[in-house]
Amino acid sequence: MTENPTLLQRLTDIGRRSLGMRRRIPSAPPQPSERKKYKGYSQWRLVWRRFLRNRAGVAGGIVILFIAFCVFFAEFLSPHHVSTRYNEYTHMPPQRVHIFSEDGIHFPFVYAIHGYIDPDTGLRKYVEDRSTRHTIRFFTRGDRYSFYGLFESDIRFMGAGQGNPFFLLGTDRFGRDLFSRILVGGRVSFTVGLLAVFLSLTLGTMMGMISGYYGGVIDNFVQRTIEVIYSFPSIPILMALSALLPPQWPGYLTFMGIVTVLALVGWGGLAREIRGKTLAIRDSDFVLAARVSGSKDGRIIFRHVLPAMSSHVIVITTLAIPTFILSESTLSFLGLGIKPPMTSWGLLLSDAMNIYVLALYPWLLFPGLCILVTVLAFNFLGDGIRDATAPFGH
Amino acid sequence: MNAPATQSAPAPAAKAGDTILEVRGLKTYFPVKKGVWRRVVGHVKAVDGVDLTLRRGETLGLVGESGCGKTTLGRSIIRLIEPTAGSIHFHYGGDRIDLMQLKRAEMRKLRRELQYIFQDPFSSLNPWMNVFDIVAEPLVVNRVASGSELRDRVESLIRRVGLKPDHLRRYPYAFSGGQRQRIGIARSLALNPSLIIADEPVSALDVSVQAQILNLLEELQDEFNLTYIFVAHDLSVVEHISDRVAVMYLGEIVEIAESEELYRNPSHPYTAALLSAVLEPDPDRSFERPRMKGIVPDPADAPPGCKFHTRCLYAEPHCAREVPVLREVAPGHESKACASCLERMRAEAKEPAADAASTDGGAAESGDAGTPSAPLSPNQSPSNEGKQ
Repeated sequence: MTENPTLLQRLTDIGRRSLGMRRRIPSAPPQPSERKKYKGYSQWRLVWRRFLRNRAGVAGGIVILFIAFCVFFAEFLSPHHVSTRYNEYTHMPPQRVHIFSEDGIHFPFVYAIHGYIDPDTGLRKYVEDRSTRHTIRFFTRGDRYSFYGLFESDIRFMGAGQGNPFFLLGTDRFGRDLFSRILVGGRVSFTVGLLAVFLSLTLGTMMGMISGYYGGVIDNFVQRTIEVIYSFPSIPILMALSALLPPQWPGYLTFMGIVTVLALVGWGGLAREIRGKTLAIRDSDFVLAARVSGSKDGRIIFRHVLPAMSSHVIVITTLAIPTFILSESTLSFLGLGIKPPMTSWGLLLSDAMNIYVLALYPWLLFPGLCILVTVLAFNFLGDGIRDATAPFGH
Repeated sequence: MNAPATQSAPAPAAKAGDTILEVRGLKTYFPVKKGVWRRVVGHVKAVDGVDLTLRRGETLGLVGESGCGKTTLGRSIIRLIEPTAGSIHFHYGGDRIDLMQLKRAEMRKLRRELQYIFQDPFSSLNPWMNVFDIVAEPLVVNRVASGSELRDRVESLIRRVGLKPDHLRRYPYAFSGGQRQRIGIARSLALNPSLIIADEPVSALDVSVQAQILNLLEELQDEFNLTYIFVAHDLSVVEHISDRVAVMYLGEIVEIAESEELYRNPSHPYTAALLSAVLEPDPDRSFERPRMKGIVPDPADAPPGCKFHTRCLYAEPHCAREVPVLREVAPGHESKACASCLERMRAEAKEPAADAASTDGGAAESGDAGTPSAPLSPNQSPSNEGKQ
């Protein structure tokens, strides 16, 4: 920029920035002092700096951190226990939070609510009872919960008094709080994605690197195996495999089973990408140089090939997580994944399976929105990391 | 750098020592596979029967067009690429070791003695390692040094190649091409090798930086008594640094001689053609068309007989049948050119007197024995009667 920008220039600049556009004016070359700071920065520092400049990527990362935080503290953040049924509040629509009432401004509160059967349609309807206010309280007592078996507590982040209706996202057909269920179910969906990616990444990296590094017969074998796995349509094979899980298994075993099934079906793509990358790196000069220096295969793989691939691995991992989340949702939606009393976003969505339910109780689609946001956030994050690492990645 | 040939060649006799490397009949073929079943349908003969003898302390320049197998030969000698056939005897501590017979682990141990400098300074340094780790790697994997000794040795190496110790914690991207090549040189020096194969170490650099790196390599040679095989396609660079020069064409060495002799008295039509293509920084000198025709044939389908006959200006029918061998044309000067071809070459070289003063003068004073003194010159200059 010029030293004294005119008012017009400033305004257009502000306008551009607020629209999220890149400044067209080429920035001045970095000053010598500025450049000095870069000295000794590792690749990771440079990648990090570049990443921070990518708005969508950073936003995706923040959203993911937020979701991770929410699902980790799900019990604490949710106002109700996941399986507490409020029989007089089934299929209740999301409740409105008020600040104003007839007699002025209050701390946020909800009105008491009464259900009745509509004589014309025979459906349950709800009406606010403006005479009773339930003030929303923070760090208040609610249903007891156990925090990962570490301790038990009944302090929850918010609530409107025990037993009072406080359903921010409405309730399901048993009168369970959808907001609480989304939080707790999100933990399952989220961790399924992470664990499945971890498993398939371990498997995929191993197979891909062996395949790419040694080549020949081994490579052929691994690649044909992947092709065989990929030649099955994914949903039927997922269904078949998860149908193998014994139904009497407890929840956590089913959970691990689903993770394993997803990883077993999904490692092929990762292995392929890693194989391709390994092939390229294996023949690169710096790997040859390591061989000239007398390095053994193990050292070459772990000191040279793996680090050079790490940025790429991070990108494909980030981009693979959402597909695993989606697969889990698909399975649970079809009733072959997570089983009650555990819940997940996919399982929650299965309540909204027919058009009749959708038309009458649209709030049951909220878990779908959560999936959408999470998947998008992961994709933005992955794209951001990819862009940040691209100029350095060898 | 482009000094006339008569000035720059170093005295080879001063350096000539005992033999360090003998390469005999070295072949490196790459299979060409086709179809679903990956059937081998032919071979790319990248190195096709190379004989070389290398004296300790000398620099052998290896020149040729792109794709002639220079790099493959260099890499085959230290088994970075596995050769198909032949023998490579390396003299090491009084023993004469055939590198081809060594097992992988044994070869790995011997790599201390045989190092390699890469052409591309940008891809030969791992971008994820800092300079210290890069230069220290040979010392670490061979368990030569550790701790403070390692640090001292790496620092002295990096100083020796003209960089500063505080460069050590930086990463390769922070360096220019020339600096990166210095780092690569420091790495190859770390194990105190006796033979270094330098694969076009300056071709990726600016001309001014090229000179610096070449000078550094020469200094290091004197200091550590190194033997170099210097691969290049730039004849002026090779002339500057080499004691002897070998010219490669399609996987074969077609001519090998002391550098000065080769430049003054090229005795293979291919060498002559290469030399005619050198651009001199002299605006008065008109650009001469390279004295050969066509392009390099497919190395998977090399011509029969003399491999050069498809491009040779002096080719005759017998060239397509008879396979020429390396024979001595002058003391220490071997060429694969056949007798008739050599005669006609020499005759033509005398004829255009104005053409290349340095070549002409050199040829005259070298007193080439056995050349009939121009009986078939001026107007009988060779037409391409026998080309195919």
